[in-house]
Amino acid sequence: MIYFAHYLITAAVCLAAGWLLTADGRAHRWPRGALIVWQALSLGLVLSVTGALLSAGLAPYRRGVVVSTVAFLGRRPAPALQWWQAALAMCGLAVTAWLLVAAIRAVSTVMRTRRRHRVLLSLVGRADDAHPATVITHPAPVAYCLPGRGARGVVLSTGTIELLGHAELRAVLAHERSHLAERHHLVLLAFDMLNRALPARPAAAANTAVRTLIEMCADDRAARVHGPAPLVAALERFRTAGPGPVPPGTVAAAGDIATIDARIQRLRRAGRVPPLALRSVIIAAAVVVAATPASFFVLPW
Amino acid sequence: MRRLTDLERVLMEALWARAEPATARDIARDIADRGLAYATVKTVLDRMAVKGLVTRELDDRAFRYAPVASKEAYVTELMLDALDLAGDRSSALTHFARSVSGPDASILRQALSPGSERGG
Repeated sequence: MIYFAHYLITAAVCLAAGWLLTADGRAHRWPRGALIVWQALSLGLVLSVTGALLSAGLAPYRRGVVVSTVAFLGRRPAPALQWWQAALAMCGLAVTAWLLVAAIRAVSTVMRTRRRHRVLLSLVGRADDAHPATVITHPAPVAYCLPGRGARGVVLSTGTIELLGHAELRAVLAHERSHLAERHHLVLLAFDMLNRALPARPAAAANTAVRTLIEMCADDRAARVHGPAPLVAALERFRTAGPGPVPPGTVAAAGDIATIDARIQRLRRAGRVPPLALRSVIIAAAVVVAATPASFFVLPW
Repeated sequence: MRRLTDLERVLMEALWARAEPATARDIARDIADRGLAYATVKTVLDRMAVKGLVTRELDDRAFRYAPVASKEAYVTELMLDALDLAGDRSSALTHFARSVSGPDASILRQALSPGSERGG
């Protein structure tokens, strides 16, 4: 039963660390590292919760979690398996199934949305000689990227082209291209899946935190090429282009302004990443948190 | 050899330019300067009907095609997606800096009426 305690401790550590990450603004100093930590915490939490349930329920088998689960599913009788243990094991399996279903649904929804978007974009979007992006004709300023279309995946509205100066536009294009280059849409997909599977507030907070960090990673890459100034100018133009009442259904719009402000302040501050030693410790800790419950899955009791 | 999406765009523009449903032959005549064979036009139009981009109705032994939605409706749908204002927050896209002004947002939402088709 000691491994059961390990699972619980790991789960608690993941939850506490996640709560700390959202509360502490210092995560913004090293967004890439914070993203790695977030992914490790999520993986660790999922593995330790399912591991705790399964190990508690299948303890009588006196084997590793994977072997016990296979035996349990094969209905091989275990010595003195109590009804409550079987119930716990079933809970563990149900959680696993629930997460798998959430993953499949998230992937299919996102892919369907993107496919539809891609189709419409090829119908009404047009290539622009002046800017290496797809342009749609609309006065509201938008700038985003759509994975799967290569360089044409960056999309601008005519409102954006009119809003921004030449240098600012280049910085925005560099920002969006770095989203594509670093495949951020995959990270977003993983956290979107978690958001669908888990109870509302904690997972939603994690999702928001991760989205902000992803924007900051792209900001960093764009600032390395063009300097922070044009990016800050572009952010400020976007910010003043649209204050106003929040339309129904867009819960986080006020938070969006706060996100823009955080990004502007961060670019202006031009702070340095934490020292290499600290960064290494953080990454090592994240790997341990994620790998520990995974390793218990294969260990015998 | 044109890419399929280029062909679809040309045909959609031709359909949008017409106020009423048209046969494949009408469309082929509209875009005669592009040098597309009638068979190509018909094939692509049929494929677009399957994709849900055009409607296809039999009228006096010939199919008549019409756009499912206007160009403005499609642009609005793209904008709502980009701004994450569409009904189900699918969060499939990341916008550069989301801050939509009040009038813009409500205009956008109104333009895409509740009854219009949204599907994959």
